[in-house]
Amino acid sequence: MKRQTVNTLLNILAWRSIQAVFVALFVGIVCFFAAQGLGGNMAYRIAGGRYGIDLMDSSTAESVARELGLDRSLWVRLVEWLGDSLTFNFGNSLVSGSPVIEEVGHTLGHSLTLAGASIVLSVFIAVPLGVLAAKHPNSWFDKTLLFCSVSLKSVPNFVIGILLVMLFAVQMKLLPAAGHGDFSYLILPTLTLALGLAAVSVQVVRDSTLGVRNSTYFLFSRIKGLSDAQTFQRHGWRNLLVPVVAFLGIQFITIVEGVVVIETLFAWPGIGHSLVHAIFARDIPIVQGAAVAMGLIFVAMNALVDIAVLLLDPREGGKS
Amino acid sequence: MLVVKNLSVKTLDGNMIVNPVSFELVAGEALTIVGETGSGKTLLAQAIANNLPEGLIAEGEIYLHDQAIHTLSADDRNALWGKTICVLPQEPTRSLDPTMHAIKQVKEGYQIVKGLNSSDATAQASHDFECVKLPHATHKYPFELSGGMAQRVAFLASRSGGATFTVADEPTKGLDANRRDDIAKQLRSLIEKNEGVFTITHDIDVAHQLGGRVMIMRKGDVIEVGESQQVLSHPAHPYTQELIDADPRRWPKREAKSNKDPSIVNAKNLSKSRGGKALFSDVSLSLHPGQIIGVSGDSGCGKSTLGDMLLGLLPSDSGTIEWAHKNNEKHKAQKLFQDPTDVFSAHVPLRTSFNDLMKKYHIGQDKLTGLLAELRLDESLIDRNPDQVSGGELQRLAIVRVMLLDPTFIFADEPTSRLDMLTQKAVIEALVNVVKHSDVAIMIVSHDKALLSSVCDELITL
Amino acid sequence: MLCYIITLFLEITFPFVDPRANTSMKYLKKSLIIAALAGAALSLQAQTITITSPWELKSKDPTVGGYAFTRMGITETLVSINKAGGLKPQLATDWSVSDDKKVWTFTLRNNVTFSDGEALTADAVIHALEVAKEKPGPLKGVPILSMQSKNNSVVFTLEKPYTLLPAALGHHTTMILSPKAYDKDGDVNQVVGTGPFNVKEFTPPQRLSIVKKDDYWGEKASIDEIEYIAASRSVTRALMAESKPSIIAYSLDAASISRLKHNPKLDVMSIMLPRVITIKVNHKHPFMQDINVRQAMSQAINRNGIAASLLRSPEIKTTQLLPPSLSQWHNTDLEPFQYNADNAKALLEKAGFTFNGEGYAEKDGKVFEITMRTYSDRPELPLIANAIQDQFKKIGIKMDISIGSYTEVPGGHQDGTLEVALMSRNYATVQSPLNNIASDFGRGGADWGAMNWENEAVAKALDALKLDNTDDAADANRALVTRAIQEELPVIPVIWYKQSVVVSKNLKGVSLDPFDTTYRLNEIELVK
Repeated sequence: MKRQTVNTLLNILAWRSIQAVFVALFVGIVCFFAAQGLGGNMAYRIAGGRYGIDLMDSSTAESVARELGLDRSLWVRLVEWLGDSLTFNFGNSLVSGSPVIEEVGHTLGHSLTLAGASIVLSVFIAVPLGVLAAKHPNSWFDKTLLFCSVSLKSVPNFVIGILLVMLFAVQMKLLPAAGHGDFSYLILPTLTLALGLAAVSVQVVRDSTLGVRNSTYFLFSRIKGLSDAQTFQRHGWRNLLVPVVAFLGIQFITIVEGVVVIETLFAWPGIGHSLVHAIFARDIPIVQGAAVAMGLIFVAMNALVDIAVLLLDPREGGKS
Repeated sequence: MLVVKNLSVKTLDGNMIVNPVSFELVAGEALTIVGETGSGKTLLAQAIANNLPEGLIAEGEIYLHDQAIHTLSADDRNALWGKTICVLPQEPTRSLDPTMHAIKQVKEGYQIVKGLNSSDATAQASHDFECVKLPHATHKYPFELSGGMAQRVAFLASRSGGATFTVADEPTKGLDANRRDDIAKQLRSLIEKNEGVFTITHDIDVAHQLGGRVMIMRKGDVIEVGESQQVLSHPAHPYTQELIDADPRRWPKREAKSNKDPSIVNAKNLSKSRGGKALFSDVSLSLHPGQIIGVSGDSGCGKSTLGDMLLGLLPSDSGTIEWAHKNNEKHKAQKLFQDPTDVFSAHVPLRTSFNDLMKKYHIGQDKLTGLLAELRLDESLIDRNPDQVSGGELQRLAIVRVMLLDPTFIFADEPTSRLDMLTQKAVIEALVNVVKHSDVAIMIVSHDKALLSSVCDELITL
Repeated sequence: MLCYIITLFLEITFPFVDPRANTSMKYLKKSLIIAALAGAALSLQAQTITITSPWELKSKDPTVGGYAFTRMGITETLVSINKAGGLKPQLATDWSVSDDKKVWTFTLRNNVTFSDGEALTADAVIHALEVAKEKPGPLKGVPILSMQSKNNSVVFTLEKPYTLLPAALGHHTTMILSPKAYDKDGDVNQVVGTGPFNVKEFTPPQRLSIVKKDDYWGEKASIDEIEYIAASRSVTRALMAESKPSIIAYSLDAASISRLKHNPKLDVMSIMLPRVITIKVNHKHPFMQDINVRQAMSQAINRNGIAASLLRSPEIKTTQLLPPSLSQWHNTDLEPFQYNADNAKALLEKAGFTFNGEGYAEKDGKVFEITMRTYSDRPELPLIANAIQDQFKKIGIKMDISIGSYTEVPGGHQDGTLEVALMSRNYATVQSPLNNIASDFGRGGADWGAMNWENEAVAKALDALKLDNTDDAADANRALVTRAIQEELPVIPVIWYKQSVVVSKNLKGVSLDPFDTTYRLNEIELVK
């Protein structure tokens, strides 16, 4: 690795670390105020979230308010949160009482597992198909693939999920329909998400590959005497992956943060799902914890993409 | 070395683009095709190298090293690349893989195409880099190389497969004179090694330097063939002469105009920045009647911006602009666009456009007739629609349109960059003619320094 | 609407995925079986059954997430519920009350151990109840002066008579956990109970798996392992019901039920719950304080229409406050609610209203205009509110709907701004409706009960019932209360709830509990 590349790498890490701190602070504070601004009396909400709506009334709400000190001023509570956060104490869930770090960690772990597995699977689907389609643009294969990807994109994810469940769980009884546990539970939600992701990324791969194949340097390598396969191996992959890696990073973030529908369909205890529940119950520490965790993943993912692109594309090394 | 018999290029539906041509290339002697854009010279080269664009097919016989390569399958033809036929790239910077070290791109030819083992291939490639005086560039990426360095790397890379027959298609396109001479030298060195060099160019100078034989092409036909010295200094065909004369470097130098008259415009200390980056600063200029001033510089340096600033179309960051004409005479300063279709309505006869203009400014018909004659344009042309006249004619009509308004200043923004050489010459001559017969001053923006230095009284380089 | 689309979608796609319909499907299936992971196939061979419901697991705290542990048979309470809906002994073998009704003695069952090996003692019970008493729940409302252990029994001394003590001791918040289950602050770190099952894995919010306990004191479970999956979507639960070999799926929507009814491997069971959708009415409102107006409002509601067309179950329309499944509190002598819009208008006229040009009721120059608060946590509420809005309009009541947070019901009750609210009320948070009826319709009303309505006769009857709900006067008192509610309408009942459960046919012994306190999993057998 060149010194310039190492410098850029350190630059990325330094810059992203600073960004991470700011994102965490900003998101935490915004969540804090946003939760105050949500409708409904907070003590009632928390009491309802804890004990169920049936056991919630003004007296339980009052005891909750007393217990949590909700009558203290906003600023006192915010400063308290900030102070605790600095010592890596993110508090306890207002509903379950368990530490935020434990609860968010649990759901975040599940979300990351699902998102990571989906991305990996989508890469295994999209990259070979996209590369193959770009080898013969406008061939029947390319057109069929485009048709499939457009149709798949237009179908909501949960419909794909239901179809897969009907096929693999209801009809064939090969895989569990929902829940989490051993590896088999991961397959259907992963496949559901991966199909949706691949439907989009396959076109990115195809276009990127086509761009590389039509590039002057690709043609020059051919005319230098390298065969198509040799050229593709030496000058194709690296170049076509640069935009694809950046795109996958974006996809990863969107599925960590945006798969509530799939999580509920498969009863998967992900972070999106828990965030929604926490918002309903005004479980501010969990909302803050989940949102901050998501923000940090966003930053981390961007850093990873930056680094991957830096390693793939030496031109990035020249920028700072 | 290369024998071509009745080689032609057609579209799939049978339209002949390059008419059958026969020629022979002898090892150790250059063969250069000279022609304008659209003459079919590039297609001829591609037909030989077998990299014609999709939808075009070649017919005829090609013998390379006595092998009838026109009988080979497409795959077998492609297998000649690198080993037998070397094709120099037109755009060296873009022809190198941006993500790979320079030396690797040369080495892979030795290793994969020529079949050397890895260390021999590396040694060979390093040696090559030393030969072209680039030993320090081996582990650089293409974006770290200058245009000239990239050209040399691409030259090495394309020759690493060991071919002794080289096709060079417009190897000097868009290069300045020094770099052009470097490339001519490279090609000459190949010829001296008794290799075959087949060059396509529009540049008469390159043909001169390579020597050997030249073929002049025009609209798919070869109109003249012969020894380069003979053809280029005593052309038999009038078109060859025209081609030679169209090179701005061969244009007769325009007589300088004194600046005794009071200035039309006086600009002082103009500066402009875009996106936080200074385009230019402290530019001062003054224009006098009958003068032509040239503005040159790399693309994106703010050449057009400077002109638009004078016309008041863009504000300047600092500095002053003083016009001799009054504020209500804005039409005295005019702009000639790169693309003349911008100023004429596409679907009405040109005469309508002219009449509308003349009515608005109360201009008599005889003035139009006079200007058309002066620019050697047939008056019947203006009964056509804009898309029915050629690009050069339309640009000259645009000059007529501008001159109808009796301007004192014309800003001509790359007025010929879309035209080929012969037409370019006609348009520039028209502008020079206009200046000679009136008191207008012209500012021409162009990337072609030779063109500017042959016609301008003064040159500003941004 | 969504459910409808999904059902339609399922019905359309079914022929295509039915392997019997297509031979190429068989090949696909074969190849997929080969491709499928061994682990997936193996997991189906274990003798486990699945329970799925929308209720998520929250925490180990009995007051917060305790219902899951009692339902699943991990923990037990002193008192439990029998299949007729009455109280029955569980960890207490019997109980008695002193003549002054202030001292209750609960005799504990012998030879009961917690799953950590600790014996069930009176001290252990008192420790668990002391913790529960400090947290929200029915025990908090019991006027306990002291709890003492005496031999193998627990003696409660009350400040005043309180007949609902046994019912409160059946609530999940009073589950008895091993003393070692608590940390020094009284928080639960481990769910160690006396029930027929032990926790194998507890991963909130969605999964709990349990294994049978071989040394259970009572009827031992026959099924080795049971997993509980909280799945918030009805579609998911329906799909699980179709794919799992042995499952009990709780709380399915009408569309799924009508589809699963035809599945030869599944049975559908249902039970009426003590939960009612009612309209809470502010009796201080100048118009609605008139009983004629409330009667008019009740008669304006087409309960049958809402139950049959909106919710697809005609039997859940209310005829009175509580459904027949709560036999003690369902008064068969009462005249059922009637839908009669014409009569409703006549009642409004009787109350002094006239109808203006637009057809709205007016009195003293003021249009009858009210705002109904409701919330979407139960998705049927806004739909029903819309139907009621239309039906009220027909008799000249102009009603706006404000869909907000459920907190606005108790909030509006407290600050007095509430006019009417559509809400869902569980009348049996403990095993007797008396507890909530007494608080909702007794003196002062309640957040989820009557607002600014008091009836001295009702209050007295409820007081008497709280002292003793088993004596001869109890039936008459209950009849008095139910009749008063029916006639005076402190709240206007609209719809009951029915719990629909889908059960695999290979499960025998499944029974439903109207109070939803237990799934009675130890009684279930897996048959071939």
